[in-house]
Amino acid sequence: MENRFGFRDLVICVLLVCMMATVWIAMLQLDDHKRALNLITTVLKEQTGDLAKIRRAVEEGGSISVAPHPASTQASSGDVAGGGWQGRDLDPFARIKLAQKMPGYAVGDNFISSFGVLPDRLTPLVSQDAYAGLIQDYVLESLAGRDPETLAWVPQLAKAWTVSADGLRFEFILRKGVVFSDGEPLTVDDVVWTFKWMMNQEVEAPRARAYYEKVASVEKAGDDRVVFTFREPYFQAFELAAGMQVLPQHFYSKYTPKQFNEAIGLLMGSGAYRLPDPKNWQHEPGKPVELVRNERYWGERAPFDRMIFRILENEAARLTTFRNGDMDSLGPTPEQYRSLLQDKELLARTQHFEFDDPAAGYTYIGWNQKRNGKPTFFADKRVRRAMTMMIDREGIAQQIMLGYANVASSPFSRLTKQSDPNIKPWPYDIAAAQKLLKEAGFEDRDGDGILDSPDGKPLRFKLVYPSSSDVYKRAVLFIKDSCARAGVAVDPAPTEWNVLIQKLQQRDFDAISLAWSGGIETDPYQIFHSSQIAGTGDNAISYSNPELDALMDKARATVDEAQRMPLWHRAHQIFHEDQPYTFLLTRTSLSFVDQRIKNITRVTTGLNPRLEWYVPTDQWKWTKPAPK
Amino acid sequence: MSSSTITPPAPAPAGSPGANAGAVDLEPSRSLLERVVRDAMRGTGARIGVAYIALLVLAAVFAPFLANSHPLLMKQAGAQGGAQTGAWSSPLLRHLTPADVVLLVMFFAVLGVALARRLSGAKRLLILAAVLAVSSPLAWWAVRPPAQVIYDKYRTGLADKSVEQAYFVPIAFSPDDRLRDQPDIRLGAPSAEHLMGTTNNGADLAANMIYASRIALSIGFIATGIAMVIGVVLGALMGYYSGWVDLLGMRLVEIFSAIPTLLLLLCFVAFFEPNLYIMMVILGVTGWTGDAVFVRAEFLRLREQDFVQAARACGIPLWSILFRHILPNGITPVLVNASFGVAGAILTESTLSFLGIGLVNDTSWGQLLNQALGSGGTFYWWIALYPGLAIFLTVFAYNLIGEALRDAFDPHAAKRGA
Repeated sequence: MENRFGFRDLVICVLLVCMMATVWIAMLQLDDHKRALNLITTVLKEQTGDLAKIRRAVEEGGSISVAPHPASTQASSGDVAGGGWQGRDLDPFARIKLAQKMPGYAVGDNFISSFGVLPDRLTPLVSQDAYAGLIQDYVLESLAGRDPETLAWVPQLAKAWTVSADGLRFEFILRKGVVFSDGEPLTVDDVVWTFKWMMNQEVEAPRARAYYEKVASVEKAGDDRVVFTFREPYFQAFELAAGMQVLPQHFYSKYTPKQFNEAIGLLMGSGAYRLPDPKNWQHEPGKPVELVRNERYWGERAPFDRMIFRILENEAARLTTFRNGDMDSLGPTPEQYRSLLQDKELLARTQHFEFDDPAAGYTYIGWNQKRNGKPTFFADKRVRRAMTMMIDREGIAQQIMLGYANVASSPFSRLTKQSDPNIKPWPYDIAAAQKLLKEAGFEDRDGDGILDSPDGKPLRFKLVYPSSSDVYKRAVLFIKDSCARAGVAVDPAPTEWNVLIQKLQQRDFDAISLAWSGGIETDPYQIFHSSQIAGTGDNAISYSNPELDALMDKARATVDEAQRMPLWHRAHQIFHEDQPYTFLLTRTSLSFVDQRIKNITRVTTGLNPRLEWYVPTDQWKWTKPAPK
Repeated sequence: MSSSTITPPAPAPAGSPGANAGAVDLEPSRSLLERVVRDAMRGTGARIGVAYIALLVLAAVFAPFLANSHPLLMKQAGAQGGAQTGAWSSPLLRHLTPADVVLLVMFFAVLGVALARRLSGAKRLLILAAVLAVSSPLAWWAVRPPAQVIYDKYRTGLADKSVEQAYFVPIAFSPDDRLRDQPDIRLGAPSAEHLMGTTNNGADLAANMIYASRIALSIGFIATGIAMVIGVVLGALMGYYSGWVDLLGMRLVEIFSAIPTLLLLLCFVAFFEPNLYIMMVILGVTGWTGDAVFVRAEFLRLREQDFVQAARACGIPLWSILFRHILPNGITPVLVNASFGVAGAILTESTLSFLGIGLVNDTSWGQLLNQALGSGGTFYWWIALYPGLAIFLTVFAYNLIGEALRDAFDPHAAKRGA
C-alpha cells in the first residue's frame, strides 16, 4: 500500500490552509467593523445630543453651551464680586493666547514622542506608573492648576475660590458651560462624586487616599459651589483640593469598584485631549498610545490633532527612531545626548534643551535598618555616613552621567527654598569613612580584606537595583569598586521590577538603589516618618528619628511658608547628619525636539506645557493642511 | 539473588577492555564505541573541532595565568619600610580562588589518567572522582584568597615606585578589573595594550573572553551531563521493561519535549535571581528526551540478545545488567546527541545573556555581545566581533565533532567511506 504524499495532497493542504486563513481574516475584519460601528454609533449619539442642545438654544435665543465654548474663560459675572475671591481675574489660557498671536501659529498636525514602557493601565486612581499619569494630565482637569512660570494658582474648572482664615475650608465656584468629552456638562456633583469614589475603600487607590484622608468632606454648596473642609491644617491643603482631577460621574458610576479596579483603559474627562475610545483602550504590543483633540473642549483648542506616544523599550531603538525623523521628541540618556551633540546634520533640524528641574527628584541607596526584626549594620548612623563618604558620587556624576547630574544631599532639591543652602553633601573621603567605621567597631579581623563587625560578621551586603537599566548597572558596579577601597564588599543584585517592589514591601533587602520623583515643595512624610514603617508604607528602611517625626508633623501643619521653611531646613540638617539614605544624584533633564515644533521655552518647572507648542502649516509632516 | 555469590563465567564487566578470555561477546560491542570514535577522529573536521575545544579547555583551565591584574612576581620597594620590604612575592598565586585550584588539579589528574595506559575505564573514572572529592573540600578549606581586591594598586604602585618590579602574565588585566584608575579607557578600540579593546564597563575584553570560556564549557558539559544521566536511566528502564513502563515513560518524554526551554528559562530568570547552576539544571532537566528515546530504542533491540539473557540467567543484579552489560553497546547514539546538546546549551546561555537576563557577576560571551550596541547608538565592532566569533566557533566545533561521530556510527556512511 503506497501511502505517499503526492502532488494532489499538497494542493489540498494548501487549499485548506488558504481557507482557514480566509476565515480567520474575515473574522478579524468583522471584529474591526464591529468596533468601528460602535465608535460611529457613540459619536452619532453624542452629536445628536449636541444638535438637540443647539436647537433648544436657538429656539430659546440664548447662548449655546456646546463646546468650544465662546466666552466663559473670564469670570466677570457678579457672583464673585465680593471680597476674598481669588483667581477670578486670571485667564487659564493667557499663555496659549500669547502663543496664538505668534507668527505662523496653526492648529493641526500630530506630535509623536515615546514611552520607555507600556503603561500598565490608564484608568485614573488605580494606575501605577508615571506614564499613565502623563496621559491622564491631558485628559483630566482639576479645579485649578499652577502657572508653569510663576507657579501661582490659576483657575481651571473653577473660576474663583476662597480660603478660610484657619486654612481649613476652601470654597470653589465652578465655571459654567464646561462639558466632558462626550458632551455631558461637568457639575458640582461630579466633583463631590470623585472624592467619594476615591475614598471608597473598595477602590484600589491607597496612595491617593493616604493624602486625601486629611479632607473631612467635600460638599455641594449651591448649584456651582463646592466646599472642601480639612480635618487639620496642612501645608499642601490647597494643592490637594484644587489639584483633584474631576471624573465624570455619569461615565464611571456605571461600574462597580471591582470592575473599575480591573479596567485597563477607562479614561474620560474634560481635558483638551481624549482617548479615541474612552471605554476600551487596550495595550496592544507595538501599538502606540494615542490621544485625539477633544473638539468639545470648553477652552482654547489644543494645537495638535493627535498626541502619539510610541512604546519603545530599547534605548537604542528610541534614538534611531528619533534620528530617522519618525518621532518629534526624545529624552536621551547622557551618552546619547553627547553623541547627538556631535551630529551636525541632526542639530540643524532639531532643538535641544538641558536644564536642572527642581522637581526632577533624586536617586538614592536606602540602607535597611531592620531586617527580620533584627537591626542591621546600617542601624548605626556612623556606618551609614561612612557608606556615603566612601561612595564617589561626584565620580558617578562625571563618569557615568557624563556631568549631567549633581550630587544630592537630601530629599529636597537644592534649587528650591526647602533646601538649606548651607549644607554641602558629604565629601568623598575614604580615610574619614574608614575612621568612622573603626569608631563603630568595624575592623578587618581575619585578614581577608573585608571589615568585620565586633561580632565577627563581614561587612558584606547585597545591593538590590532594577535590572532593566544599563545606567543603574554601571553605577552599581562603580559603587562596588568604590566601596572595595574602604574594605566593604557590595554584591550587586539586579532584580526584576515586580520582584523588587515585592522585596521593598516585605523589607527583604540590605540595601536598595532606586529613585524618587520630586516636586517644587515635597512632603518627606511618606518616606521618612516612622509611622510609615508599618505594613507596606514607603519607609521601607525602617528609619525612625523622633526629632524628625516631630519636625515633619509641625512643618506639615504650618501653613505659613515663612515659618515652614526654617523647619524644613532643620529637617535637611537631620537628613544630612543621619543619612537614612545615601542621597546620590539629581539628574539634569535632557531633551531633543524637532525643529518644526515652535514656541518651546524654558519655564520654572522645565519646558512649557505641550498645549502651548505648535507647528506652522508649511511644516506639517504627519497630516496635510486642508486645501484652500 | 545476590551478585557476590555467583561469579559470571563469561561476560566480564563491559567496562574493562583488557578483560580476559570470555569477553568475546562483549569485545565487538566494546570496540564499536572505540571504532566509532577512532573513525570519527580520522576526518579533518572532527580534528579541527577537537583541537579547538582542547584550546578552549586550556584557556579555561589556565585563565588566571593568561589574564590577570595581579603580577605573577612582584618586588616591593625597600624604602617604604616594614618587614616585607624588598621581598619577592606572587600576588597572582595569592589571589587564586579555590575553583582555579580545583580546575588545575583536575586538569592534571585527567592528563595523568589519560597517559596511564594500564588502567581500566572504571578505575580511571574512580581515580578522577577521588581526586575531585579530595581536592575540592581541601581547596575550599585551604585556599583563602583575599575577598576584597583593588586591582589598580599595582599600577599605581609601579607609578609611585612603591612597587619596584612586577612581572605580569600576557594579558595584565583581570576580567572584573574595571580600570577605575583610567576612566577614559572605557569602550576603547583594540590597541597594543588592550588587544581586543575594552568593554562597556572599562574592563579588558580579551581577559573577559578567556574567563567566559569557563562558563561556556561548564554550562555545555554540565547541562548535557544532567540530560544524559536522566535520559540514559529513563531510556534504559523504558527499553528494558517495555510494556506499561515504556508507555508511561514515552508520555513523560512527550510532555517534556513540549516544554519550550527558552521560555521556561526566561520566566525563571525573570522571577528568581539569574543563577548559572539553576540554568544548567533547567537545561538538563528539559533536554533529556532525545537521549531517552535513543537509549530506549537501543535497549529494545538489545534486551533479547544472548549476552543479556545470559547475564539475567546468572542472577546479575538489574543495575549491572542495564548499565554494565547493555549500556556500553547502546551508548554511541547518545554521544552523538550529546555533542550537539553541548552546542545547544552554549547557544541558549548566550541567547539569555544577550537578552540581558543571564549571569550578573560572571562574564559570558553572550553578555559581552549584548554590549556591542551602546545605548548611545554607537556600534562597537570589537565587542561584537570577538565574542560573536567565539560563540560561532565553539558551536561549530561541537557540531563538527557531532557530525563526525554520527557519520562514523552510521553503517551506510561507513560503507560509503570504506
